[in-house]
Amino acid sequence: MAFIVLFFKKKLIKFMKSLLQTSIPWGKIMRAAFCPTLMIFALTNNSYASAKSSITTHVEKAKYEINGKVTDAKGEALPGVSVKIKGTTTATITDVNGNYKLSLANGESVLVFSFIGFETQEIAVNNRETINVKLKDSNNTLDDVVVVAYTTQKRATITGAIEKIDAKVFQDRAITNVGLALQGQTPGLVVTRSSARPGNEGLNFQIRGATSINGGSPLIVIDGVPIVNYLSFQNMNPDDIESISVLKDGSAAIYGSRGANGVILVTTKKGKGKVKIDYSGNMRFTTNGITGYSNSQKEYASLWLQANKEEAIPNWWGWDTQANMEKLASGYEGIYTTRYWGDVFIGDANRIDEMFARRYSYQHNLSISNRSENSGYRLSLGYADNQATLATAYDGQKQYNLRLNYDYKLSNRIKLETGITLINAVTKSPSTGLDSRLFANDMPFFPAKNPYGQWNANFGKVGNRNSVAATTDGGRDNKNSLTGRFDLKATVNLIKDLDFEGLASFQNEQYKQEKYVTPVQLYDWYGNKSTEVLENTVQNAGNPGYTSVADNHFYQYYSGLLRYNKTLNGLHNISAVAGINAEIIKDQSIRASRVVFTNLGVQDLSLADPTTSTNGGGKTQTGLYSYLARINYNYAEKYLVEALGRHDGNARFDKGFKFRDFGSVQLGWVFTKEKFLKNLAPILDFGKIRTSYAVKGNDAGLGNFEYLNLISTGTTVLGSTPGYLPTSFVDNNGIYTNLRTWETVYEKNIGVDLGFLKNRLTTTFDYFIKDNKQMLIKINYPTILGGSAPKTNDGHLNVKGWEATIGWKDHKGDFSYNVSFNISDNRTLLKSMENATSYGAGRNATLVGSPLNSWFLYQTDGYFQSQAEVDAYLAKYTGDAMAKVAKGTAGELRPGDTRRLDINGDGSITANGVKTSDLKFMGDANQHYTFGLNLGGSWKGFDLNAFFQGVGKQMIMRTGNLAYPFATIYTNQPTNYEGKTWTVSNTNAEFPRLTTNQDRAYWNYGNNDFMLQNSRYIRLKSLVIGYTIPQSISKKASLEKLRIYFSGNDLWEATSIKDGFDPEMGEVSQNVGYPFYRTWSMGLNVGL
Amino acid sequence: MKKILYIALIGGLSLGVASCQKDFLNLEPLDKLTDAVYFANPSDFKSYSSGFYTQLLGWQSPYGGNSIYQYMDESTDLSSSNTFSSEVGRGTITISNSDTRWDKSYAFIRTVNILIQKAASYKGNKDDIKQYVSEAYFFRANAYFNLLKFFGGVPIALEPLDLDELKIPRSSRYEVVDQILSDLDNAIANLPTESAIPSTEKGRISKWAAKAFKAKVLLYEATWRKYNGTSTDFEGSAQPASDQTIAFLTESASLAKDVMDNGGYTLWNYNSNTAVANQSSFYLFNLEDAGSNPAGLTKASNNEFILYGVYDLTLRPGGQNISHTAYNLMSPSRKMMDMFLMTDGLPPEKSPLFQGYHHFTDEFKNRDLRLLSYISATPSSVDLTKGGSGYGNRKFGAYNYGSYRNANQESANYPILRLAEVYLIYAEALFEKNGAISDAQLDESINKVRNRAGVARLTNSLATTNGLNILNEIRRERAIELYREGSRFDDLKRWGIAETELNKSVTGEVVGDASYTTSFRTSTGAATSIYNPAVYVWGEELVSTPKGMLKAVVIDSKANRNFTKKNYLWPIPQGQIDLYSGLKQNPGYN
Repeated sequence: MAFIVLFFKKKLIKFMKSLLQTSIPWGKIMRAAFCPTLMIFALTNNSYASAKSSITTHVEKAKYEINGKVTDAKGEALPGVSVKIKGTTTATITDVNGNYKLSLANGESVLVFSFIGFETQEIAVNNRETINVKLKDSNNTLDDVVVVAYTTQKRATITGAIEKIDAKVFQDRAITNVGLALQGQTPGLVVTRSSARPGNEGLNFQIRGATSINGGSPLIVIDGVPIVNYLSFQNMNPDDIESISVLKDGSAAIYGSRGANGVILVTTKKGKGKVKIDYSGNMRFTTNGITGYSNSQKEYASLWLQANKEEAIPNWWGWDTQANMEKLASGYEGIYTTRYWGDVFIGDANRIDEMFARRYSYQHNLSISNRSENSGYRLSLGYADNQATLATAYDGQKQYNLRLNYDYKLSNRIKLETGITLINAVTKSPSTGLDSRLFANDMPFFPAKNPYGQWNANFGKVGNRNSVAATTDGGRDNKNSLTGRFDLKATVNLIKDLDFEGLASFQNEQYKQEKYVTPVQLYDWYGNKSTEVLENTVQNAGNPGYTSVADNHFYQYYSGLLRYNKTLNGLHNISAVAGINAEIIKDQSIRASRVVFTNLGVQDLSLADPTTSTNGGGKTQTGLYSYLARINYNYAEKYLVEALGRHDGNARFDKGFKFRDFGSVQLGWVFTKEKFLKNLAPILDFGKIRTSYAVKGNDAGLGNFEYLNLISTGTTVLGSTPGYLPTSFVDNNGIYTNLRTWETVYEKNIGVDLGFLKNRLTTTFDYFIKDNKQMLIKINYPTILGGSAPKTNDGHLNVKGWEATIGWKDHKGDFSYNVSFNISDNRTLLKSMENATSYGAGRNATLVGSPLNSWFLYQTDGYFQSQAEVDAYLAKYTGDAMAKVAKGTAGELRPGDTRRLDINGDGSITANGVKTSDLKFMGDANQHYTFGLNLGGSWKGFDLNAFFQGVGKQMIMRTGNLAYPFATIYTNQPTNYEGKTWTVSNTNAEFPRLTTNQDRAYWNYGNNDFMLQNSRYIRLKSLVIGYTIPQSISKKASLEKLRIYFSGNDLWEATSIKDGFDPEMGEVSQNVGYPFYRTWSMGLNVGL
Repeated sequence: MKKILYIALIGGLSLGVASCQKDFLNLEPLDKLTDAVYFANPSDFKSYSSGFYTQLLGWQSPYGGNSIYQYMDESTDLSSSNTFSSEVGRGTITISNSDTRWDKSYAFIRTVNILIQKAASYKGNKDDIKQYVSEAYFFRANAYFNLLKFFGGVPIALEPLDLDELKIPRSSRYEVVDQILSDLDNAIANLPTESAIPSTEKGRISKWAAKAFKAKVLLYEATWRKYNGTSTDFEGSAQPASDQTIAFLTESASLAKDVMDNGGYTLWNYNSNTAVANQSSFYLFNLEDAGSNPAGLTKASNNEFILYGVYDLTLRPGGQNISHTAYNLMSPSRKMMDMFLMTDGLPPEKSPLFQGYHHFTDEFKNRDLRLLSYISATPSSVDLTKGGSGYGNRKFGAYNYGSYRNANQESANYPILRLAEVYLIYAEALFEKNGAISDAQLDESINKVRNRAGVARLTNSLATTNGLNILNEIRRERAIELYREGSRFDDLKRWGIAETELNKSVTGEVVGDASYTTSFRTSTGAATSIYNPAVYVWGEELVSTPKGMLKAVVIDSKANRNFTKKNYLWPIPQGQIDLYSGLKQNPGYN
């Protein structure tokens, strides 16, 4: 316990800090450490033969032989089980058939059988010659081996805040996007999406909240190598994933300048066991989820009538008259005569029904794997077609995956591993017609076609929008990302306990986009051409008819690592890794477009008008060169120490500024191993306290070559017959600096891992504080500078948070079940940033002394109930916020309008100000208490798994056209406010009086405290119910395994959102209209 | 053998890693030059200066967004729409934290200063780059002139500034003007004549453009000083070193004369072409390709624009809802309608040809052709039920809108300075300098413009006979000819009459009453079907018309309009003063 107290003592922190002070030349130390080892390596190469012979000599002469077979509880052979003679280093592993053979000194030894996922067993030989062992499934995750940066560790001895996610998470999910599958799976990692459209989900990953106002996302490493792009993670075949580790605290510091936002380490499946062929596949369809925002003509008109009933001078906008509006409200379908638009046909055109319908998707995975004595391989193929619910045109993604992992032992000392991956993701979508055009702009009562079968314009002749027409005929946007990766790794045992590992990885993404837009003519109901061509289908230089893009990203990664593992006296466990890491990425882009394109059924750039050609391109490169090291020491797996660091060099900085040091020091104490705490054992089986301090970097906000003054080129249009002329300019108008560096984040972490009741109940808790003390921010200079100065390292952001998990698993006979829950939260605080000292009404992204995205809103006190109250208010208050609702204005306040409070008591209602406004801080807009809840159980062949994910608190205020009634009068309206607003006969309503005056509508609704709503939700992300045919039956069909299952996504949710939108959509109502959907699928797993 | 292979492989791999870190860290840009090696060839200077052209005012305003409508005389005394920037006409300008016209102007100045700086160290033959250096001087003058018009005297930066050089106090307007004039002199010296600019580069600044621009600056400043004195100077501003008014006017007139005589420009007058049907003043402003007018004339026929922004349907579309805005939102006021001349050269109140207002088409009879080109006289467009002035604008609207050009596609060149204005500058500068102008001088300038408008010559005898003031007639000519081209506010201010002209009610159609029947009111005084008095918030007002005091609909009441001397200039953005308190605010804004 004293240890815990110590943690908070500044002295210890100071000590840890001092270890990491930049004054210690980590780089030099590491180079010094590394260079000799390289020499050793060179020497050992030369004396390879002699070294080999010297190693054989230390194996003692066999005296006693034992053999046997290791199986699991069901009697299935277990290959790869470690069989070790207790108290010695002599060990072997079982072969493909689970057989082992070992030479012993005598028949009195004790054998230790251990294997990941199974309980370790110790068996005394007792002079037997054959010992067959049945290993029990382990309930104890502490035995897990966890992949950490550049090495693996036993979970029990980990000192960092590291989460492990295993393959189960991806099994049977009707999802091919790894990112989506990770939503809610682990505390601290938050995955958000803004759309359900495959390939366009707008996924965002964040570990432990924001790190910087400049953003930054977790570094993703697959099989030890960072990835060339996020797509090669999101679009990888989920079936290929063996495990994922999420490094949250100082454990990520070994990735230096890329570690600040945490690291996600992905390990792929390798070949194991006898030849195995697995097929899994599912068919699915989607149905619309929440569409509560969708209104009808009647509802729209009814809201208007209600609002204008409250107005002294009604405003019917383009509808002109109350009569027209009443006709709308009656549901009359037919011609409406208006002054501005002429004759317009109105009729039922429910956009959801018109545009979205059940679509089918499917995925297939096939894998073959095998391991023999000297080699192992796993080949997997995946194909998926994911379609969203758009019915007017194909909107989805096709995914093709191939992966081959192959390893081969050249000798006892040299092992080669190769990995080949191909991912082809093809996203095809309409070029226009979605987003705000779907729903937020126009009311859904302009039918898509007129009686002549022509595309009908909204608002008769003057309209220029029609989402059905745009998505059907407006052109296509096709994107294709082909990523290939080749890894080659060689591991050489140099001398006892010391291995060298060389790794090279080449990753190449070829991205292609072909986009064409074709003008779509709209017509009015009578067949007359509309004056404007469909929005966004007009072709011009800014919106060319045909665009073709080819990008290429080539990433090379090389590393050389030395690994050292040693156990002294069975008590002192030392392991160390040191090495060099070099990376380079080259990007090239070519784009060409022609303005005038007519779609005649064949789509290619060459078919567009060549006289309107433009093309461009660019290429860039950047590199990293780093020295890294990590040392772990533990005493009897009780006292744990870890230190790691990286001397990181980056091509983005000028000479002399390229290198910077990052690192972490970590301590852990497995207190349940202390003798004096042994008596806790029946209840508390395992207890560990761990702590870390780290210095990590964030590379967000930095571009290539920003330390140089660069010239860019472009074009301008001149000439009596206009044509292009080349132009050039100096980037950022010639303002640059070479005096900046990575953002540096200082992070402290303390965590506790506990296991109770034979480790059936496990919990983990972590608390962290991170400080980005060199956040890149813009300093405001007088604008006569002529441009904005680059960001410099002058800001400070502080983030504090915690994560907790609790899990229970047990079994009773054939019934086994598990429950786990995880939750996390973090709070940001902007400590210093120039220019971020004033706030306005609404959400303020940055304000010193407040969290990021702070809400400052008007505090209100109900609604005026009488004219006398209004008069008194108008007489008493002035101020900038009052300007448009003051006496004599068109927006003059009336009974039923909102009473905003003068909270500073200065007699005026003001929005602008530093400290003297009437705005009240009302929390932030960030996600809080994000959680995941997993319920699983199985009985005989049946299994069930339900996974819920959610957010406990996120305060949002709807923005965009549908923010509140009559935020904008010429758009669709959020009709679900009707009946909830103040009227003479409903003075106790939830919302203020409706008004068609936009200024008053803003006063009544905009940025008022009661409009803030909690976007919290809990959603059944995944439900899997499966049945495995008993092997006794499937064997008859020569199948190892046959399983059928139902799998569903997003089937149910509960949310506090009041205005009918999906809680995952975010707050912008402009995006509404493309429904989030529910997925229903049936699947099959077959094993040969 | 096998062994050696492995060793070689692994050894090679590890050595590859351990080799030189410089291969990974000392990388060079692959697709961009640095400024250290650029600016070595004349073509570099040419490309760089070609980039300046987006600084010109145009449909795609250099100040961002659709701010171009702010430079089309919205909410002046001549227009009735308050849709845009009513704050100016109403005098309700407030101090804002930032102003893109300030920020962008200084960004342009830095861009230009980089070229001037690089030119100074150019190692080659300076003659090869002199045209581009001259363009830089021109664009610097252009940026400072815009700053002068918006803010008065401003800080002067003549080279790219460093972070420690940003605390520069405001120079007086007199110093800024001197700088503009000296930059223009530098520009004029080495710019090519119009005929020397190849057709593929038309739109580049010519010597004549710089001269015409200088004539405009000189007239602007001379009249500003003559009519406003130092009343708009900020506190602590330096005074003019000497009275330069006469010198400015003299030079202005002589520069204008130079352009008139030697520039080779001609007014775009196709009135004789029957297809044009006397509508030159309509088709000039929507001139694109042969489809843009019934006569099949193209941009190439335009020899009137001297300084303009080049636009093109496919390569650089206007990208603004120009026709919609022109036809529906830009409505002329009563004052503008009554300003157009009669064919006899007299204003309507003096001319027997004026037909009055009984029928709404009456006032279009016997008028200046520009009235018919700019304003729609077709009955279908007359409507007093929407709250507008009742008049439909046409200038800048596309021909056959909806079929020839759809919304946002209009791409006529944007006029900044054209020959007609040079004529107007010449006449005004001469008159301001001498207090008189000869008939010959009127004939070689302003009467050319009147000729295209089908209006009789302005002569000293016409003025004397009819009690006209020549200066007023020159100013009237300017108001009519340059209607909606962004001159009106500047003109009212430099003539020192903005307060008096802007603070009157802005009215629309004469609706008359029982004693003066119109298409809008019957002899009983009742409103007809095309007039809905209820939509006019400000009601009707008796206004002075060529037919005496008559009732007209009020579009913006004088109660709303409080333009004062302080509004002659915009306030310095407060954010800039906060960053540097040495920046003094303009008078009246504290």
